[in-house]
Amino acid sequence: MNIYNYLLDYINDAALIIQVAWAMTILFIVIIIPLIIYLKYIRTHLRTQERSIAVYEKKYESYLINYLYAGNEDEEISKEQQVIINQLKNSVQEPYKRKILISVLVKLQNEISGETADSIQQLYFHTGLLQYALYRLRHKKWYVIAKGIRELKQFHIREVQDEVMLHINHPRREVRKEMQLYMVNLFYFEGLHFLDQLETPLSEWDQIQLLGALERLQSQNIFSVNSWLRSSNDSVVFFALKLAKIYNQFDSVDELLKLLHHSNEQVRIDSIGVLSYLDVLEAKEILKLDIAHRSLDEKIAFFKMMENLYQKTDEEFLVKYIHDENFEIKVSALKIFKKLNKEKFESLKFENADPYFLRIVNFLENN
Amino acid sequence: MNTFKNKFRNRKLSSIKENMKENQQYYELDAPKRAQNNSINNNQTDKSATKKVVLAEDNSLLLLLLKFRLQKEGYEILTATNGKEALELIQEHKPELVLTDIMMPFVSGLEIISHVRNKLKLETPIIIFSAAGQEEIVIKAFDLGATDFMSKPISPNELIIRVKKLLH
Amino acid sequence: MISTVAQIIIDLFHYLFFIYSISAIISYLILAYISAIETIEYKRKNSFVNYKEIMSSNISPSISIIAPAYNESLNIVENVRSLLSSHYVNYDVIIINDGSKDDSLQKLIEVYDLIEVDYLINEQIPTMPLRAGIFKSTNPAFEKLIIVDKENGGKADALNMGLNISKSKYVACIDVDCLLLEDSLQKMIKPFLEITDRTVIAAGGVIRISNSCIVKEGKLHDVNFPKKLIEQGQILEYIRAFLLGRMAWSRLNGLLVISGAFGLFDKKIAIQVGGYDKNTVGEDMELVVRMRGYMEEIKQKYKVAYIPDPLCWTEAPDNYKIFTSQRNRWTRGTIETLRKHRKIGFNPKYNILGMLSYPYWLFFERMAPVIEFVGILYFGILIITDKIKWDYAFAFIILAYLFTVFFSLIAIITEELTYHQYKKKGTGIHLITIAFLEPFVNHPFILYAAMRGNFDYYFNKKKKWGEMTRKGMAKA
Repeated sequence: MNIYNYLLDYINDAALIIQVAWAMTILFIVIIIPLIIYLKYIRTHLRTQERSIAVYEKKYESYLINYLYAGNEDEEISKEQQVIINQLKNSVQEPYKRKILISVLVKLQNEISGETADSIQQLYFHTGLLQYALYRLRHKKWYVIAKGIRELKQFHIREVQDEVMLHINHPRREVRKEMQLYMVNLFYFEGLHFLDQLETPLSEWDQIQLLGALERLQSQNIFSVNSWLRSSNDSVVFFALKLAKIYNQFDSVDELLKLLHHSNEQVRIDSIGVLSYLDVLEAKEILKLDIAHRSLDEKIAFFKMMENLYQKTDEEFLVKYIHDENFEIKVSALKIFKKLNKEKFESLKFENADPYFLRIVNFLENN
Repeated sequence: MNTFKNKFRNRKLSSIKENMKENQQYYELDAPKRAQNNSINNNQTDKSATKKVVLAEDNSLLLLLLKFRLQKEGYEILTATNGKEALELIQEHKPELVLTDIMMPFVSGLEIISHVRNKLKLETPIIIFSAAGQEEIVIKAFDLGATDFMSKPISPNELIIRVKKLLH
Repeated sequence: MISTVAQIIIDLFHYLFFIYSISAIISYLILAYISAIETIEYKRKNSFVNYKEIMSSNISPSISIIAPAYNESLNIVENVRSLLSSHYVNYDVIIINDGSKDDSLQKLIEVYDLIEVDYLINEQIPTMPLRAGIFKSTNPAFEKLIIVDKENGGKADALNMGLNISKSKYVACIDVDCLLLEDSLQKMIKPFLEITDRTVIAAGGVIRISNSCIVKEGKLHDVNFPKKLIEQGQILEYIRAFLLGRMAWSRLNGLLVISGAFGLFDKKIAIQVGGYDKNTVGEDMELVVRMRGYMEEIKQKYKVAYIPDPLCWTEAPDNYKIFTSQRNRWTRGTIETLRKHRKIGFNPKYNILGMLSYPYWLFFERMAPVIEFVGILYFGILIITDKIKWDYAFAFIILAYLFTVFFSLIAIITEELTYHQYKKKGTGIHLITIAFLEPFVNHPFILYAAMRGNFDYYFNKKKKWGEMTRKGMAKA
């Protein structure tokens, strides 16, 4: 009691700052203790959850395998399969179990095609999982919508196209991306028509994923990319350039040649690359005219093109560049020069004593 | 949209309820048992000729599915979830066929091919699984001596046809 | 008269000290708060990203992993194998053997069937010359591997050689003993490809401590919480710095440091600014500051991104001698970088870099140990002259201590709610204990090392690199 009174007196008599300090100390103690308890709780909780997820995963994996083996050719759904569907229907009602079940289905759905994949899709219909994904599309939170679209994409639910398309101008990049992936994954080139209306930038990351989806497609019947090459959205132009290259769009050569004078430097550089890939000699002649006034990166891209499209008549033009300041241009020019005029190339060794230059010449001679 | 919903409802109605069984029944994996039964039936004529196949794939579920599917056809399946395990199995069991994913932890599918052809000097046929867009890797795999390739997503039925073709 | 002046000076000193402490605490709280927001956002955005698609696509941009090695013979073969097992498609691995005196090169040649190749180097950054040359494997399975054997020139020089050799658009500069998770490259490249309204010039990853972890077949097999307090203390320190500090700086786009153990750079810009600086021991921080400064000067919008996922695991010092020499080096690196780029500090032309990042780094990273040291010195003088007000001292020491513990606990809880790497039962109590002990077990050494760093920087210029002797990684 004495100590208590003493402390009380001490606090009361102390300076304000000391009182504040002690008050804060008590505050921190009051916060720290629950934090420790919470930490202990959260760790235990996470551990049990992980164990339970593993158990359910195993359970659903075996359900799935059994379901796939219970099918027969006569019926759409065999009796044995129906039993499994009914059992899973109960699980689906709990969000926690639903999530695990979906992850198990996806794990296989992504890697398999043909009848087995159709069979998994049937399971997705009949367990009612589809309904939950459809609810998600109308959710308020962007990440719920995005996840819903992704799920519908994974299970190839083509029938909800209209509802998914509603999100074409969603303010969140992630939702738009899922929408685009849905369209391309399920409708392939047909799905690309969203590009006509696209005003937001299509990032490199998005483009790679879209091209990946198209690559998985057997059919190579692409539509003309001309209108996209003319798009006012530069990112659509970049994407169209990639399409033109991958799908050998010789029909688009005229449009591509126009892009050599596009206002965006990177567009110009990329179109040089595509034209080179498509072996368009005309492009080389156009570029030769004003290459001296173009940017360094354009020049480098042009010389890469020359390596591919050189002709005997280019020799005179090239000689000017074998002593170019830029390493890449110099190497390109020398490389072509070697192929055009071996004799003269070899004589270069004696004309110039610059060790840096000789190093390149010697390397090219041996390789 | 509407037709789809109707279709969906019809399927729901046609559910067969009399077959409801105890929840636990399907918990145990009985597919392998059935697969084995099948294999015995299939191979009644030549029991000695059970062919060994090493299957390497890091997606455990796909591994399981393909394993059962192949067992059903009467092959003896040795499974590995990474490249290193696969190499050990190949060395130990000398299988008639190797099926391997390209992208695997630690030892890739390419290294498996290279090891089998160059170090073990075996002519065992090897089918590789690749993801879409990995043409370059597939070409490399053929350079190293791969026999055939299948692009993911894989159709199990197509796989069986290719395996049969190689083993007969 | 003199005594009143002295009193005013002392009072002023007290106030400054007090303001400094309060602003440090407030800045920590603000950073932690911003981190929380950013972490939630990051988790949401990436919860449905399919990294598999990017890795299997061959139009994904090329990346070179550049790893300098100096006398790493003990683990080099394993380390290279681990680097080669990334799941990204379009990448190569460039190992720079920086004049090692051991048998690293021999080992590599044997295991990976290497032969010397003719290679035309575009020498954009001057470096020490090649020694044995450049090697590639005859086995197509290792065709991503390039081994460069050069004369010793230090880490920065080796990295510069890598920049010259690489033909990729991006370079990942890492420590050779780092264990990268298989999906680390696609996670790191994502911001470069995704952000459209500005150029991403670099991305930094989280460094996790692999001491006591089990590494099997070049992969992280099992995460363990180490037993030694010094290791535990560092784990806590890393969690705090990476989850509560850098995450916030990334949101503010004010990140100054990318850990040298794992960072991804736009190669063109890195070369444009001249590559790594050989004259500093803090070459990792210096390069980022220089690249940022360059982008500000050419007035281009840019970002230094940060990936909070645990992608890179590395061994941390497990004894105080190496620990203090490492921190000594870090201190000197910071001082050198800040001094070299003095013109950036408090210069509104450099926006956030000049007005926020630099000043913060100067006051709360560079000056913190110095101010703490002065405080302790002053405290000692007061004790000796018996002028100390024990009630003040007592109240504030306890308060400061509790704040540290509180902050550490918040960091641990963040870790549990996000990445939860230390899953094992029984680790929780160790985590809590170290939150209480860390101020006593590691902090004094950090302070000591920082002061030594200051001393060495100003009075002992010849000080060489602190060498880190490595033990073999724990193997199963």
